[in-house]
Amino acid sequence: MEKIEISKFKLNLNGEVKRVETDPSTPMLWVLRDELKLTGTKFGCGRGLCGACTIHLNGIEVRSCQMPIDSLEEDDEITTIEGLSKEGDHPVQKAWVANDVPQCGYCQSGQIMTASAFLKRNNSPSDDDINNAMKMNICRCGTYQRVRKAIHSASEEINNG
Amino acid sequence: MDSPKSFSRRDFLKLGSVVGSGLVIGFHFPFGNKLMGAEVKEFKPNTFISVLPDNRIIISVAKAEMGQGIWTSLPMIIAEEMEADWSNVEIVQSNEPDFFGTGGSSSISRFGWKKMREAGAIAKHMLVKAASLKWEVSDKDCEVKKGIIYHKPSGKSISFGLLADQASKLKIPRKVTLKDPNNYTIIGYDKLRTDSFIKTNGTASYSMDIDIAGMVYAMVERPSPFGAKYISSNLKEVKVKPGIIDVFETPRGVAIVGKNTWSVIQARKSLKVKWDKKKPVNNDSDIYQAHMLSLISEKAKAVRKEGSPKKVLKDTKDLFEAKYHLPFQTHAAMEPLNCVVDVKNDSCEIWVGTQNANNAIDRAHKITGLDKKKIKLNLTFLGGGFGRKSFNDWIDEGLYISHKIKKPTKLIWLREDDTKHGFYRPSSLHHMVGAIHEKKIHLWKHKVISPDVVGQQMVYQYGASLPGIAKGIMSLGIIKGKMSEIITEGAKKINYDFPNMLIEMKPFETDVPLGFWRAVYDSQNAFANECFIDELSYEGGIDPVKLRLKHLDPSSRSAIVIKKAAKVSGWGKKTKAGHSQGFAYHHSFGSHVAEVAEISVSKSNKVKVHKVTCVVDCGQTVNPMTIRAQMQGAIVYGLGATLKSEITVQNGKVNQSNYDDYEVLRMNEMPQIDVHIIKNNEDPGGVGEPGLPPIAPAITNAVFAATGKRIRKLPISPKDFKA
Repeated sequence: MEKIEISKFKLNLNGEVKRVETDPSTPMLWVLRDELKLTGTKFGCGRGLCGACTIHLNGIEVRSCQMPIDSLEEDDEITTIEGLSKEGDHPVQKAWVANDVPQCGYCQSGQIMTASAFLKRNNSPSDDDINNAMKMNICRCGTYQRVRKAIHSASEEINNG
Repeated sequence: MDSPKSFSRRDFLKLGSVVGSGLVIGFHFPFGNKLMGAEVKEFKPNTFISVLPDNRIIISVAKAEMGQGIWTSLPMIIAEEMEADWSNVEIVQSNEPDFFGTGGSSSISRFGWKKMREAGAIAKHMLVKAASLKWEVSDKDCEVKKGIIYHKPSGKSISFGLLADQASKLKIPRKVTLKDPNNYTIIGYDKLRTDSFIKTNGTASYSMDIDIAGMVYAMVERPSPFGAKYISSNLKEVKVKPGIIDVFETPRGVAIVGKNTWSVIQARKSLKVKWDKKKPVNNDSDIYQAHMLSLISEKAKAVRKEGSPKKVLKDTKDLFEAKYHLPFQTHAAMEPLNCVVDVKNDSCEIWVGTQNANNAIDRAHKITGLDKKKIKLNLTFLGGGFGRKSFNDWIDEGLYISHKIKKPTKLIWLREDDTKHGFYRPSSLHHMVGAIHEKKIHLWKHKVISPDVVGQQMVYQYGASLPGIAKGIMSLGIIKGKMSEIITEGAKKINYDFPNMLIEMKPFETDVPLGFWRAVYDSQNAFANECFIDELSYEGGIDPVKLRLKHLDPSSRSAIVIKKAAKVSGWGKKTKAGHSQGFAYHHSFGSHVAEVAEISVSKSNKVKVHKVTCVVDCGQTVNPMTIRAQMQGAIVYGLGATLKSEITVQNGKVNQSNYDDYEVLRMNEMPQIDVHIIKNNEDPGGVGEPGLPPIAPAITNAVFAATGKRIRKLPISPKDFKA
């Protein structure tokens, strides 16, 4: 067998320190799913086109399928859907349930991770702002109209506390 | 109130509770689609209602939840007839081996509506009986509200949970009375989905997420071109790549097995396989399109004839003719195909999101040789289905691999595999000839030229699980010829009443694998119907909505839906500057849908959809929230196919690979969609598919209103506007 290059990594993940030994070229998507068994982050396209694998890197939404583990810096903080809130009660998650957003649900971790990062930058978005922020997250069930509505209602909750 | 409904008592069974106490009623939820290769077996319940002493009611759902909301709407029907407190209802997936398929917009309309109401009424009947025995009163004086039984004369009350054990000692009744729909408090009212919370915190489990001890990861390099035979490969070179456990040939292609997904993805890049394909049949888009055009002049089989169409064709001078082309489409569900399979010497367990669960067990039996009783299937959520996940071809791959290596195996398709090895909605050609005299359609001729999905699938796919005699008949082509009529779904049963009418079909063969796509042939035939009627209206100088209504009974459900859509969309009134409207209506899967698209066309001929008004009559509604979601979803799915996506084939290989070249609708292209639901007490129709067929013609008809250009080929391309 050809030699396999394995490196040791220390991750700041969802507020905890996790250690992983893996091929340094492995995208974070597969580190999370195969090694750490955090399967809320979904595989959809493998090329950064659909947004199903969206996670937060230092609070900014990124496509984990395009991010090799060795591209991370020592103090980088990673958040996945499992770490967005302890009880599943982040304003965006609550707005998703209240507005009946999910259908098949497969894209929704990615939608929620994009929306929650975006709302930190823009807490009173217009429809156009939302369209621009969310256009890299595909939903084949066609939940877009409710996604839009839920982002507006989450922004209200964030602003009014 | 309805008269008491009697039913065969063997349809329902009382069972011991899995948790030790409480009332459990089991019943069988059929799918009954013999076309899908389902065998009718002895009665075994596959759906359960459990009433627990703590008042919780656990309802199992024997259908696959793929986003359509079946985990909410089927239990709502049971809860209504039970008079249960909806907030006490919990849902679990039924994983009994005897469940059937999910598809055809049929879970409620064809199967659930009757059975779920009966089951709920039986449960209520037994609980009331238990209360009346406990109180020594007549059950006629007992009333149920939100899970509590009241005895009016004495003022006594008791909750379902406290009676569950007593009720479990009673017999299943022979007859029950169903509720008067006017007294419904759950059916027909908005209910939030029961699966939303787990779909917002990452815990909802799809087969892609299953992890079991000792599991390995696998992918398959499949024959290319379609139907090619394996000649040779460099599998020994790939076998020594880092993290790779094994590489071998299977009947479905070359399997690569590794210790994690990334190792397999990396190693697969170095795999080189030689394939051989002899005698290709219409496996190239150019050849296929030319073949369809050549069939226009060939004799076709008539499937419907009204009046004297042939005579009118001969005698009419001002015939109007148009040809409509539709492309291949793939499903592109968000969750690429995958499964987890664990074949051991004496057992087999499968985790998969499939629309056709029983067929998966048949496949496992065939590949492993194990008795079906030793095969367990765990149905997970589906990350979208849209028809693709009824074919189960990928489950064979998981089975072959796990059977050979005797390890639990997660089989994963990459997005590129999913795009290139689909079962495609066939590309079709529709030749229309018509005449309009004195503002009424005098002649309507529609010739449907398309390959036949069912014919191809019967032979190549479901053949595996069909009884021998059916296979014999099919090989003679008898059933196959009959099945081809499916290609005229939505063309033959067009709801308009035309005096002279001829619907013909011309099926043909192709190597391109074909499958059921959302709305199946209604997606194609409605495009031809509704564009052509719009074209005829302009030829005849009459408003397109008025022309439709001239050919419908004014009191029909079709006419009511069309009139309502015209009204709520402001049809014929002034639109915003630069905006234009287009109209379309179609009846499919038991429901009537009219859609009005409001669009604008830019200087560079890009179509922007601003608003879609949708009016649906799907009979008795169960969950209006689901209906609105399904209409929106079908419109979004159809908009992608109208404006952006198409599959093309070259020498038996699909040109597209991922969401960059098979583009789907994105958030920034999402119009406002307003859904209006007509209320009536007709039997429920389907809602998963009927929203799709009208959207494409509504858009192209609007493009004509905006630009005077007729779009007769999808998807719409800026090139279509030239000349």
